[in-house]
Amino acid sequence: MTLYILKRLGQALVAMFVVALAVFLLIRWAPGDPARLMLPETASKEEVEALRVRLGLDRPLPVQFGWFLKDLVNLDLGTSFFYNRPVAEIIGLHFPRTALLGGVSLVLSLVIGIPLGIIAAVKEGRLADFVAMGFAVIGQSVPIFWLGFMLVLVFSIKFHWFPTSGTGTWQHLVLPATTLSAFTMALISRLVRSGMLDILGEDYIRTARAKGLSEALVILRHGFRNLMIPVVTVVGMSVGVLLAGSVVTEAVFAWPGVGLMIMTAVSARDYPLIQAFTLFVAFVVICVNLIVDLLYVYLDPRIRL
Amino acid sequence: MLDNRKVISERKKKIQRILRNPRIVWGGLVIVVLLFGAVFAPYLSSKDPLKQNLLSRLMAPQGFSGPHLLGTDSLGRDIFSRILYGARISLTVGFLTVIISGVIGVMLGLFAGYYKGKTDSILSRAADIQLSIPVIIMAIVLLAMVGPSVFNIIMVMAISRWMLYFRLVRSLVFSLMASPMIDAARVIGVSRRRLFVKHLLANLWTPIIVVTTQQMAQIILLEATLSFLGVGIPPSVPSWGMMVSQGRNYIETAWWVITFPGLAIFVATLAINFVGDGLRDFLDPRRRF
Amino acid sequence: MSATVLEIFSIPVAVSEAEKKGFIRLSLIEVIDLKTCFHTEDGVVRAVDGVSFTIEKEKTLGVVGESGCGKSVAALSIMGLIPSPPGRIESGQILYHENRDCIDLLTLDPKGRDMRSIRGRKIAMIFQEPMTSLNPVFTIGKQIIEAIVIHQRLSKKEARGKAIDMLQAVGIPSPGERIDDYPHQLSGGMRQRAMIAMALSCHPSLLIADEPTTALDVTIQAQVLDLMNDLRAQFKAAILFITHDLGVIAQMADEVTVMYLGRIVEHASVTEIFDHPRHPYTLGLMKSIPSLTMSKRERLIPIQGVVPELWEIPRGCGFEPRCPHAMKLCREQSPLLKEVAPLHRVACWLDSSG
Repeated sequence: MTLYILKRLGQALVAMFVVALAVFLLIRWAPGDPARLMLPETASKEEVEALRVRLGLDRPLPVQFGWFLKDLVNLDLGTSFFYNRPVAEIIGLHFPRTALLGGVSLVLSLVIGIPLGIIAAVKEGRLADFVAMGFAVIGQSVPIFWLGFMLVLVFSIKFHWFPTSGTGTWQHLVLPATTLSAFTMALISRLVRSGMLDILGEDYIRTARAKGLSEALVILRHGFRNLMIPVVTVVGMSVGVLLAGSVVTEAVFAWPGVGLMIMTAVSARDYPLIQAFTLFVAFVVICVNLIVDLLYVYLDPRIRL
Repeated sequence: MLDNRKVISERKKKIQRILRNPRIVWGGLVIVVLLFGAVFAPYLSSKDPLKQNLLSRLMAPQGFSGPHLLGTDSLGRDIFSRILYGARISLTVGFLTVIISGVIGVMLGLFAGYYKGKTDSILSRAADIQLSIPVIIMAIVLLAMVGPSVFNIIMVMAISRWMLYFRLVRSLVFSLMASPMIDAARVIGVSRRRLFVKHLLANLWTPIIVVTTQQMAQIILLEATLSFLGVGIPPSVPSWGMMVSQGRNYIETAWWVITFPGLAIFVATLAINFVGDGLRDFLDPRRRF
Repeated sequence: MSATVLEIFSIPVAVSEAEKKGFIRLSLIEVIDLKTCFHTEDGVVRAVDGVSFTIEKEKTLGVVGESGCGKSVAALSIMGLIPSPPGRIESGQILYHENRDCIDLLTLDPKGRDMRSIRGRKIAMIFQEPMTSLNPVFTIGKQIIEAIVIHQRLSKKEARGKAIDMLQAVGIPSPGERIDDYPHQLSGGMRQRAMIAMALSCHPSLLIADEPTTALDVTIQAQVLDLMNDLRAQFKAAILFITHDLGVIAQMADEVTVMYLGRIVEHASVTEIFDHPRHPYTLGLMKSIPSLTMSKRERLIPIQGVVPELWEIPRGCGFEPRCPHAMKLCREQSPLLKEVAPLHRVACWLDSSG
């Protein structure tokens, strides 16, 4: 088992390495002078030269890459010219806000999605199933930004229950979180349903019933415990989905997280920030996948050996 | 004892069953309507979707009583005709993307499944890594670098989607290759090309179709989102996502500018998802939805 | 040559000789005219089509038949484990005799508390595939203890002790350690022994075994069968043993019931059925087994034809399409079970002596 864990850790590091390499090469191969790209247009010739030396653009590629990795580990990836501060600081400032929004959305999606999926599976083919899956299909078909605006239209403008944008109080969180969680809630309930259906068809469920266990115990004890494995998978997937969705949601609600940040960076051609953000996202995703795989070891005894 | 007549009537029965599935029927109906609207747009609406008329900006929807069925936007353009023309863009982009990513993904999946070994490991790792990166982020970054245009958006989306086809085809090919049927074919000496086409692909096309419908829906959503964010289809071309983005400042005063384009996206995606679900129901009846 | 009153009215009923003479109640379970069907997209499948048999206390009843003949469905009907949307028990009675009481299990709600207190406690069942029949994420100890605790009021420690005793009784070495193993850590034979331990942990009066050794190696199979015979004597349980393997039947059963297409075609004691098989299907089964005393030239004689689809069951005798002795009558009417010798019943028009 320890071998497995070490193997996974190694794979994660390799993945991170590959992503860093890809980003590194992308900047170097894009048209134009990399140093020029990494500085605002107002930079002077001397500044550009200084950066060229610092990045080692006159050195052979492997050396450059080595310096690049060193910078990466030190979290020194340049200065955003839009915000005029070190990139790491900007991301560090914006990310917690996205994490808050994403976290609340994830919890909401799980709290509603899992029970919905289980009920749909247990009552397969009956009305509850159709209704639940009807909601799920709708949730996966609604464009997030449109949903956001519609919610704003109804609950902010018409009813004045919630503010239209910004942060501050919990009321500011309600509409964005609801918007963001729609898709993942639908996704989770669908996957829980199909996972549960698979489980309920397994022989050990029949054995559990044959022992005289009540249906509730069969589902909640035997079924649920095996459901944890696909649920963990779904949660891992959801992180990526939520990150993507937050870009849109933050745009709609002017929520000052990394979504808004990257959009601004893109329109300002703020390459240092774009580059750093890409690496950051890759890092988050790789970490999440690693955690999911390690959780599997805990959840599924068959892997342990 | 199977005779041809029995096989043919089995197929007929299957098709009948497909057509009886309510989701496929309703979803299919909506799609047909959309296609109709997209193709016959110039006949259905006399208004030029690009024509700006600042005198009639932000007019409320007039239904059938006035010239502007769904109202006008901030530049006086008729919303209804913009939606119709927007359908052309969205459906075309979606279709082309699915085809391109499908072809790439299926081919790579076939190679990985057939040749296994190194080819497979490299391709799989690449797919895994790419699969983890949230599509939107990648799309935004790439599009930021190459600039928005219809061609670019199709390529970017195709590149971000091939992995799903790849994974599916790869695992199916693995299990097919292990089957005695393929061994038998190879023993007879079937050429590689024939093996690919007749034996492998023939068994793959049903799941590929199901995945394609799912992908189509997601791609329409993705394109709309990217256009909304401004990195998708350029503003000169009418697209639903862009329409929503352009209307956001008028949400309080002219709700229709945002609502209708978004509704179009929703309905289109929903219809395609319905059809996809219905098809999957039917092809794998044990596991619905 | 004894026809019961009920047989005159064409309701096949299985009643043992001893009972007919008014002796002690020997029967534990009486299945009377059970009909279980499944509603599928392709039609109604009559999995069990009017089946009656008796399981006597502390005896082993073997049920033989090909896959799909309804033997498993009959067993699941007794347990109340027929999945309800597609499946339905249409009619019949399943009488369970305990002491002087008798209760029709089919009148109980399968998910209700009454049935659940019988299931696992009075009647237990083991299945064919021990790997998939045990939950992979729980230790075998946990699963056995669960069976104990559900039905008996024991402390955790007591239950664990009992579980270890059971593992010992089924011949699992170092039970104190193995109890904390996960199913995938045990071999196939061990797993099935653990399943047996779990099933017998509440000392049921009936153990239903649905092809328990089919998935095991032949040598292991022999060990498990011996174990089951020992345990039956030890725990004083009756066994309903379902299999398609006549060799296993010869080893395990006291009485044998042969099923085909959801109906019983023959019933007799094990010696009687091997010595004097009457029904053409039974004869066919016997002939298609290779034996050590066969000469090299003798060919195995398989039964002609294939089992028809279950939704196309013929109106007359189910076996008629494949029967070498089929008559016109066989196609029109389904034969009834008639007693052709003491305790030997056959459902065939060829045996009109009765």
